[in-house]
Amino acid sequence: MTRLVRLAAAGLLICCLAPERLMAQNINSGAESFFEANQAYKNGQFQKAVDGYQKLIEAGFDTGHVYFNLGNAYFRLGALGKAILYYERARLLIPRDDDLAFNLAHAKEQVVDAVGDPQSISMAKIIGLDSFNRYEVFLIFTVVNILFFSLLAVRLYKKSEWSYYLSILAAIAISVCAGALVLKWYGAVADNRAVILSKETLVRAGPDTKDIVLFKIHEGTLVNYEHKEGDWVLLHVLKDKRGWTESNQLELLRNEIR
Amino acid sequence: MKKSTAALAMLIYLLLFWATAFADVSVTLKMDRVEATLVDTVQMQVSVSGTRAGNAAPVLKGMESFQVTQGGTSSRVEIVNGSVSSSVDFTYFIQPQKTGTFTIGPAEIEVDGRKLSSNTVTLDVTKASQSSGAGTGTGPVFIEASISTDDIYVEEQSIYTIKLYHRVDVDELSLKLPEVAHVSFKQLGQPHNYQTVYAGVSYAVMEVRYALLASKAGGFVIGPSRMNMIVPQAGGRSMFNNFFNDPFFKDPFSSFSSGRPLHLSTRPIDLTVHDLPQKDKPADFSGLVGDFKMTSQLEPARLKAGESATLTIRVSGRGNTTRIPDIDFPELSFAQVYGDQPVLESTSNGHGIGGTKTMKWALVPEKEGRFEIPEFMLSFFNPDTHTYHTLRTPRQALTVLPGKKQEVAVFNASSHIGKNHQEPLKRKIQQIGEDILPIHTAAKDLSVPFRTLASGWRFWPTLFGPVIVYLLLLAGSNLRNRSRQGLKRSRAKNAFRKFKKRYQAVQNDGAGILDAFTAYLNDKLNLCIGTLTADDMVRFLGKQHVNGEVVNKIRQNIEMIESAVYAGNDVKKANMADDFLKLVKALEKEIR
Repeated sequence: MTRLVRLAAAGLLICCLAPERLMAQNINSGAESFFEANQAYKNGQFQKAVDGYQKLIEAGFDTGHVYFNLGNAYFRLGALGKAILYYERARLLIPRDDDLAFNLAHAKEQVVDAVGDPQSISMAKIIGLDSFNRYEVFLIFTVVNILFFSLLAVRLYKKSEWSYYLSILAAIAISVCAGALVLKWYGAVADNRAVILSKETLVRAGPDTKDIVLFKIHEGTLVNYEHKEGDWVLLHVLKDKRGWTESNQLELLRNEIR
Repeated sequence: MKKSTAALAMLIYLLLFWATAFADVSVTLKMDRVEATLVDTVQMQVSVSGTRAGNAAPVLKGMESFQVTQGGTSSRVEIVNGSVSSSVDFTYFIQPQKTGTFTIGPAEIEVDGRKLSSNTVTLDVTKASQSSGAGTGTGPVFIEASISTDDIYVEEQSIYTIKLYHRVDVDELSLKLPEVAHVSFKQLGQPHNYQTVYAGVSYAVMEVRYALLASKAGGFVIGPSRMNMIVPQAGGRSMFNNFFNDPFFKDPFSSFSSGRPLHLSTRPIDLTVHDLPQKDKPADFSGLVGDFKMTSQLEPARLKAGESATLTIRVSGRGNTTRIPDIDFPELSFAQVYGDQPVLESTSNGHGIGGTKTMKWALVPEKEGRFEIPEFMLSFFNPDTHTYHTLRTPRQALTVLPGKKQEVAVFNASSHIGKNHQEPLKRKIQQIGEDILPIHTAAKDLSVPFRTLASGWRFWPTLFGPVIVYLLLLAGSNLRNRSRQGLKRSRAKNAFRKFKKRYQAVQNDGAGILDAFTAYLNDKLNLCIGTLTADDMVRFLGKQHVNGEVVNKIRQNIEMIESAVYAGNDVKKANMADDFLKLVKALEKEIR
């Protein structure tokens, strides 16, 4: 039986460590493409840089920094919508990056429509969870999880007073972390924000070009995606600004994010 | 009474004379407009303030091209809050004799043996034309708009002038300027009123000027300016005006009389705005457009270490003065530098907007020697010459003499910069340009930390691993506990069988019988006793609630065996009070 437990613990350790080694090998293979795309950007070949970063993302290197660079390249190409789209995607992965915050703010200043972020008052933002990406939240949860069950395991063999109080503290911590993890995961899955990619988008009363135009929105504006019907998407910008537009006019933030 | 009144009057006169005689005297020359035609008469005034001794008329320079008519002299004395001021105004009417741009003045006057000069003013004289701007035509009341130049650069100012010509009284004037994207208007001073001749007819003119600036290149149309007014109707005039026809007798109730509203518009004006040329554009160009000059002054140029010198740089001129940049002062190896808050004074006159920006630094040298203050540069674009110019201040020398060391050590900057300076002022950082920050290039940027832990097949083991390990440990612990209990039960179950076997093996050996019984009790009650006494046996069996009779019999037998053992005799089983084996069998039934 003891052997079984030891095997389980070893397996868990391998799960934690082995992927990092595999990842290190992959990074070497992507570094060359990353370097080429960066060089293209520095030489002013922004379209080439965009292609390079896109390939990296398709190859699995969809990191916050690659999204950031891709946003920069699109910004240089004058594609404000795409730039904001990729900056926002980068923000989901590197939320505390100062360069990203600066560039995103700068790009948003260029947006014509005076509309804020639809998620500006989300619960995650209120409790400061937006400062961590979901992998970091998961890591914190995992550490607390291991700590909690380790304490319980210790108490199987030795029921001391200190282990009792520590277990209570760990139980509170794991409850908070589990709540944060669920909130973060739900936020990622239910993130319906989309970015307008065309210079000017007509929002109509129905999913047909014959329907009356309700209002216009412009490139880079963040909208809330509701649902899709054929080639049309129902969206809302503010409480009283809701309507249909063609699906090729916008792109969801969470489409590519793993 | 008369004597005292005369004395008081004399005293007041002397006081006024004393006050005005020692006051600062200045001479100012001004005109009622900056442009005129050959048929206009321009009013010019020379004011000598700070004196009453202005009996001699000023000498006017630059009047060769004008016919000058003296319009009279007026003087006044004012006492405001105990401060006495006086001035003499000389009024002239001048009529241009030829076209061109003329510099009039200075006016010179001699006061108390001192020769004082006034400023100069510029007057543009053009031919009298029938229609020189964008107006609505002629009549008793009409309006004209004109622009000094319709082909300008971005941020270059052009003068937009609106003139209201009227031969009848007008009232309740209001003006609405056109709204043009990327074009702004800034009024230049107060409206001027004067008389002129237009198409052979004399008109009163109200002229208002604006500096027009465009912030973007392209072709623009300056739309019509609209002026609304009330023209009093002839029938509504009172007998005062009709009878005397003099403003002095103007009907005091005229505001109640009826009038006809009149709306006039100017014609649109085309404006072409060019981008500033890229060729030869200096790297430090801040967008300053106009005509500027820069001066610098270091005072004192010779001082002791620890003392303070003030370097003043002034940039002045005509143009978009808000674009004059704050000059950065380089760090000096020999002195501490404390910058003052730059001061921008904007001015405007009929020729446009301008101003002066004054920047000051306090230099506190820390070591003796002769040092050089570096030159400062400022670039601007001059639309008149269509070229960029770079202004440079001369390099200035600062001679520092040995000073007391203490002076350097205890120097407090707050006591040095300028007269009004309180402490080293912090300057608000000016945003000069805007752009995004560069890309990230580190190889580590290709990985998302901890993602592998939280994605794919590793997610579930990582999430549930600790709880699974814990459950396994829990299960193992329970299993082990269970196996210990089983061992105990098995031992107890086989206790009698083992005792029987050992008891039958020993014959008359009392110690052997005791050992066998001790082992039985150990197995049965899960004990580990080495030597068993009769009292121990009673105690253990009492805990198991064994029948007292059985316990007593066993006790008797054990005591008997013990005494035989200690006496060195054999124990004959047949001599025992009871068969010991049967007693233990009974005990086995009791404990079960």
